[in-house]
Amino acid sequence: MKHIPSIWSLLFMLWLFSMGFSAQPIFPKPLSPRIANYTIDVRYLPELKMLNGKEVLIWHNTSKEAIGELQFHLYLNAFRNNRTTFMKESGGVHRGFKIDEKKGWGFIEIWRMVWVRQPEDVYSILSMVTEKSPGVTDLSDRMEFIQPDDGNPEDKTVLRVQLPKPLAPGDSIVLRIDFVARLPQPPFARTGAWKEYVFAGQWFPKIGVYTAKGWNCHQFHYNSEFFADFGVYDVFITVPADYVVGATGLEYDVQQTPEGQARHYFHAEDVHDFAWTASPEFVEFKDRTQDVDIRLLMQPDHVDQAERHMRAAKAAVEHFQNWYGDYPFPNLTVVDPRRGARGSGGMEYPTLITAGTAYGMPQGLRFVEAVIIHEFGHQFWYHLLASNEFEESWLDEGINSYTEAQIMHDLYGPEGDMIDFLGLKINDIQFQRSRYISFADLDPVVRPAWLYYSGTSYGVNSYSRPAVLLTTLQNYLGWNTMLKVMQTYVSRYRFTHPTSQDFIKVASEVSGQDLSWFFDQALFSTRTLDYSASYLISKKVKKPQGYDFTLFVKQTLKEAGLDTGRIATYKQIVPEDWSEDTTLYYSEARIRRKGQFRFPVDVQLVFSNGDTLRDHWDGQDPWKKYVFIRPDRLLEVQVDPEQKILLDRNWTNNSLTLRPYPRGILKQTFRFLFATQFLLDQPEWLGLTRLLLFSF
Amino acid sequence: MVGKSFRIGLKTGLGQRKLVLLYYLASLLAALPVTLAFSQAMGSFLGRSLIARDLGGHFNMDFFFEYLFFGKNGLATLPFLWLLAALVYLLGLLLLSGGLFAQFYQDRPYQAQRFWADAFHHWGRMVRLGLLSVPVLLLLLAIQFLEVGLQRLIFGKQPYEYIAYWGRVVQMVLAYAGIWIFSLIFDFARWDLVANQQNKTRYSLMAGIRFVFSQFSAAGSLYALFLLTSGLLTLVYILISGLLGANAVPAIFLLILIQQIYMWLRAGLRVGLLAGERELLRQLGSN
Ligand SMILES: [Zn+2]
Repeated sequence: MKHIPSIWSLLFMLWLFSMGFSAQPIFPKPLSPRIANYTIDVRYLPELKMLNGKEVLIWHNTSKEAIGELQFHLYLNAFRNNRTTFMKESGGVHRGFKIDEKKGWGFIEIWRMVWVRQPEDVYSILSMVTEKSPGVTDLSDRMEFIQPDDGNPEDKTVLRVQLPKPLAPGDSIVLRIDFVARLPQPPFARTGAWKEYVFAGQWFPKIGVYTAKGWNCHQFHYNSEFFADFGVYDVFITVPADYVVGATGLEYDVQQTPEGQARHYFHAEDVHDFAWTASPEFVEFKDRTQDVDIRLLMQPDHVDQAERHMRAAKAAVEHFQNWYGDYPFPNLTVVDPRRGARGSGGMEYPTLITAGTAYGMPQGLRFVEAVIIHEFGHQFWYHLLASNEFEESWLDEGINSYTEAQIMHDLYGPEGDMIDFLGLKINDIQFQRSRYISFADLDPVVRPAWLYYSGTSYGVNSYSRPAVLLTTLQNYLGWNTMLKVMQTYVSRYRFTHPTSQDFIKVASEVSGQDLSWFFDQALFSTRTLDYSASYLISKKVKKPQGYDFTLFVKQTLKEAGLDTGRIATYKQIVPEDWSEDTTLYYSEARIRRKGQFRFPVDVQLVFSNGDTLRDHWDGQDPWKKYVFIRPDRLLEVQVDPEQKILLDRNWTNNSLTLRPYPRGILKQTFRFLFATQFLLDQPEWLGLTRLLLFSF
Repeated sequence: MVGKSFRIGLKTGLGQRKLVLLYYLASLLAALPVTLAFSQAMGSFLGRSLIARDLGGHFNMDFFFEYLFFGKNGLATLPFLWLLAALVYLLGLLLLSGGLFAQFYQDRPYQAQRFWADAFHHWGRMVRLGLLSVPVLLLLLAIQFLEVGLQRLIFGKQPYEYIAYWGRVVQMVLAYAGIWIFSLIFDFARWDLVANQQNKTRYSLMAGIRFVFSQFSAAGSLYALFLLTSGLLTLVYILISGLLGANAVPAIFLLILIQQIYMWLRAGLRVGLLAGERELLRQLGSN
């Protein structure tokens, strides 16, 4: 049966769309389906590191079904105790930062949730005394924690609320939710407070995503990020008056409260999350590039790196807009986490990102730049294209690691774009590949985030391996085609929830070829790729003995009975002026595909007279053989000479030369000898490495 | 006085070719087993690949990461061999010092038989002295932690990062000062040991400590001059070796030569410092 909305619900919708907009709109027309809309009034209690919040959620049922229950994320409950799913999976350590097991725990508690059946304007709902108001249904008794992923009864990160009456398709619901929360101290797994600094991420009751398969509302896992619907956010943040506040969206207003505090009003449209930070210590820097205002909130001990941060942020904005598409939001805030609070660093929220640096970080160590470019990249790969990070993390982190490496390369390449320090030069993509080669075959790329073999495997398959496979695809399709793929993906799926299949569809369509053979292997299998050159000889053809020798050489080799099957390929060049006196060489080279991953590849063969032959091998068979009878020797064979296939785990075995070249081994041996002699003689130099450790 | 000791030390260091050779060989021989193991492992990993040719130029990070992962079995013994090298080198230096200190102390020219007789004669005592002075080294190294306490007292537990940063620089300077003072103490303890044929090494250690602290400005200045020279030498090495990055056999051989000349000169400075110390002792009239 098709649902026809009643005239009342239509009027109601009209009113709902009008009521969020007491603020001056940012966009003349909504850019997204504004499904989940929040107005939140939150007061920060600095001594307790607690939040006292009132939330009005207006949620639209855009599905075709009547919905009998709602599901919410209560992310902060992941840090409630050491028995939550997050804590069990992580062992209390996230990205090297440990939760303070004595007093660092955080939680969120909803103490009342009511359904406002006869809504007035949002601000009256915020200020009304819920238990006394007419037309209000208390849902508090209907709340219960569920654990859809692992059944862990100690996990309280997902809340279910049974509705007294199902919500019809096209209908909307207005909820008033009162909550208190305590932030982890110091910040842990992206969120928390420390001394005068607070970074509030995943801090408010947040509704799940209703999909064709029902509620998609996973528990908060160690190896997982998020998934949410777009909406409009109006958030009032009350903090001590001397605090500088940064948040998602635009700051519209700030007012002094009678208690001498400041109430900051932030408004954001077409975003699917909201985070904020505050500290009296922030030093503010502002600049603008293209159509984006950039605001830096730096710690006082890092102000000498503000310029660095700003340059990276501008470069990120410019590269993304020039390459991939429009960044629709008017502003970006970059937050520098406090010392001792780095657990809140390196994270992305709509229009607000956190970086992270250390005093004395040398210019040649471009971790700050990389992290800013990375976190800004999420504005595209997660905030515009709101993929499901719980289930397909690569769509965000992986594509983002790929674009990060491309931008780093464009900005600081070709050598040492990530590290260029004391003669050591490492590119971003080399880092990614180094991680990929070590953990290539534990999991397919696409898999629910908490089901990978290990945290490392999640990391490799969500970040590094996708970066490597997309760079390989870029080399295969060419830069321009790949760019068009990315641009089409962005423009087609912005403000939606794209899936891996959507990306594959775009890549195939734009490149004009079915690329499922590539993605099936690259995303959905654990196949690894390793081409090698396995055999090379070149020897003089013996002086003619016995029967008619001329006939043998002038025949094709096939006729001479040397062809052993379709796998082998023979090429021979016999010069016109060949005579029995010409010295001829029999050369043979064999190459192998050692992994199960099949990928077309170039092969290069170099002869002693300087001739270079190129062959293109489809890589379908396990090996290929080249045989030549020529007046010159075959000196070297090399698979993938331009190193286009980054998915090849071992490039060292890709080539073979006829004669060994000892000079590389000689040089590295003597360098090793010298380093050993040097350190034996002056071991105290090792102490200098402590200077570098300052940065971490 | 210090200037003269430095000049004489430097002259002796460059002049005593056989002694310098012995010191040079000590580091070369100690480093050789681990180097050969490394070379063997890398050679078998590289085989007849083109990377083996390309590594004659710049180091290739892709290769490095692949080697760390796929060649890790070949690298497994290296840490052990490194420790062995350090031990061999340490014992070797202590052996050589018996011969050298005795020769310098008696103002004799180098004479092989005599040298080795003295070397083995003093070896046991030198090792004992070395072991005995470990607590002194630890104590001197611990001075750096004064900074930690002071910093916490003034700035609290989690000060601004620039305070922590410069605090750690100060810590490092203190640590180096500790190491350098220890080297001086150990040297002058050994002078006492050969001068007095001291069997009770703790007396030598005490004598070394007494001497260094009573003649701190002279001994320290001499040491600083040699340190400075060594720093300059390293700077020159870095500048020259930077020019020899080309992937060509002559450049590679030249680089190897420069590296070993640097190590030779380092050995020369080591001998020179001891000769300078001997001269200082003479001038202070405590021979
Ligand atoms: Zn990321």
